[in-house]
Amino acid sequence: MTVSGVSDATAVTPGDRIDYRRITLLTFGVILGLFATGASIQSVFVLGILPHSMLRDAVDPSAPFDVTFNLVTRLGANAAAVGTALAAIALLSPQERGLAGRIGTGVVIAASAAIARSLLQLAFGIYGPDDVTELLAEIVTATVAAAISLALALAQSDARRRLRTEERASALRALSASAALEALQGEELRVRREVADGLHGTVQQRFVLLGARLSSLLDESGLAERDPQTAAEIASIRDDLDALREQDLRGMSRLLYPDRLDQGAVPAIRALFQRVPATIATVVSLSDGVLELESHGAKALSPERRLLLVRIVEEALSNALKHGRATSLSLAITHADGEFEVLFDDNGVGLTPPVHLHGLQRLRDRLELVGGGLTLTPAPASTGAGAGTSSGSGSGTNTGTGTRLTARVPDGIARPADATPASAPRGRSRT
Amino acid sequence: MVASAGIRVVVVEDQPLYRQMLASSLAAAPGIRVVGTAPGAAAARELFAGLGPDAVDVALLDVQLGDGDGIDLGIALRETQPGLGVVLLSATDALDVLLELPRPVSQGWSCLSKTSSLGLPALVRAIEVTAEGRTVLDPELVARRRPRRGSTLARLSPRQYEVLRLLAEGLSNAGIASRLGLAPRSVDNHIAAVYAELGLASGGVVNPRVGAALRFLEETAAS
Repeated sequence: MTVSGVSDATAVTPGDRIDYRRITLLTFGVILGLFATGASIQSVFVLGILPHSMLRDAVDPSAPFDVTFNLVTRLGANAAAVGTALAAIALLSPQERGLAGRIGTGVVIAASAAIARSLLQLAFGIYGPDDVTELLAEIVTATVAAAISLALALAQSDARRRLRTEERASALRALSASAALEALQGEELRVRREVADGLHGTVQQRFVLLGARLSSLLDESGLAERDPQTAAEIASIRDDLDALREQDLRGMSRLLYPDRLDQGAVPAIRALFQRVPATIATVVSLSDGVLELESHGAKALSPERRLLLVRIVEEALSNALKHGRATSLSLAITHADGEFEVLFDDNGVGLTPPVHLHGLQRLRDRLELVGGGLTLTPAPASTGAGAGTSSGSGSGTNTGTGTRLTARVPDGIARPADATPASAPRGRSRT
Repeated sequence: MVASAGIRVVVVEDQPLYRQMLASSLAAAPGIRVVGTAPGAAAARELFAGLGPDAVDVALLDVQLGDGDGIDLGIALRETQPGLGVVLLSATDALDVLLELPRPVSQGWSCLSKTSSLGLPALVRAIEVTAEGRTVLDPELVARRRPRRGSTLARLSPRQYEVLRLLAEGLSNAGIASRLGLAPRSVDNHIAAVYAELGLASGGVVNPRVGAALRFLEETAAS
């Protein structure tokens, strides 16, 4: 399993490339731009340096000298230098090169920016053609400033690259771990199913045959007349065998693997409700979307997800019946946007502490692992078909509003529309 | 319609001993001809393809087959042969598997338990009734069921409920009348009242007898 084709955390995608270039350009532009603006302002206002042209023309020292012109020409030259450097970076892409390449392109970029700047300064008359020393000093200073800005920009881009590689590596690790876990769960499920099938089929059948043999032995031997006590003993053994088969064997088989899970979540859930005693009113409403996905012949979910969905209903049922003393249950399952919503209401004792959560807590953990969730709240007053009729014994304790269990179960079905893997929400919730 | 030579039956069961016993017992029963047996779902499909259209009246299917599921198999067979009756043998006593059937093909399905003390005569009767497009629910399992609190069935009178229960077992009106010692007219009236209570109309997509049997399953639980 790979995340949208990325199997190597260090691989650089075209998207990454654009991103690193953007970071380099932006960082470089901001740092050198600050340098350039600061230097211009300092020259004009703090140091009060006059341009060469003004000095030469200032025959009359009292003539007003144009601060604006001074500032604009200096800023313009510096801006042009930054622009040149940015163009050179875009062209040479130092962020994609090794150390030697970076030094080489760095020198070219910084020097070209400094030279462009000085040429403009000459053109604007900031310096005269005679100020060779000054011009050289300016070129060196500007080259150093541009080089430092570039180094910072590259460091920034590298930091981003490291961060991204690390993120991907950890996502890959999580993914391979979850794939291994899924494979393990799949295998466990397969074994459970086989054992349950064996209990259900062969073993149960043997018990039925044994019971039948004991019965015919009793009938044909005429033991009942000769030795009624032994006959009664044998009959009692036969009944024990039958009870063992009916309760223990099938109970165990269901624990391993719910009845009719192979036929879909809907048949398995119906099978659960069939076992609810007749003295309890039940309402089961499954939306068309749910029926389409998980009825006979249509099994869209993975076996693990199907089991999870069925176990939630099973746990809610047994919670309501064991602890909640409910007389009316209602289940509604709907499906929308790749997610099942399970609403289970009972009219039992409600959320009186301590709330029994052992089984539900385990289910909640498993749900959160796949990006779902489970909550228990007081049931809305209007729900429960027989909520108002929950009379009878123990009415003193049965004053509760009942409990509503709400569970969100992502269906885990990969849809062509989005390439996000099923485990994506897990990563999202962590970051 | 059932051919005069007897009801043609195919037995699909994955346990060899059980399959052979079923086949030989049924072959000995008057009015029934076993035209084939299969050990699994895939083999059954092949068998039906080989026999050709309308060569089988009733398929006797184990619900849990080694290579698939008897209900899925039954649905698939019915698609190619709409007149086929299906009798399911369930080891899990899950009569309510019939509730999962798509409504248009729900006619002519019966369900018997492998673990009830079902005898050969009961099986033969179920095959006969199913061949006529009606539904038989295992009498022993039906007798164990009680109407669910708050359901429509819980509002029926005891007599009406009794009539409905026998109807779900696959008895005809005359059969119900003789079982309960009632006049046929009075059984007809009870059935009409039950249909009215359940909101079942004759002439709908589903035969009201089948609809009533399914409602019985839906609104009762094993006690």
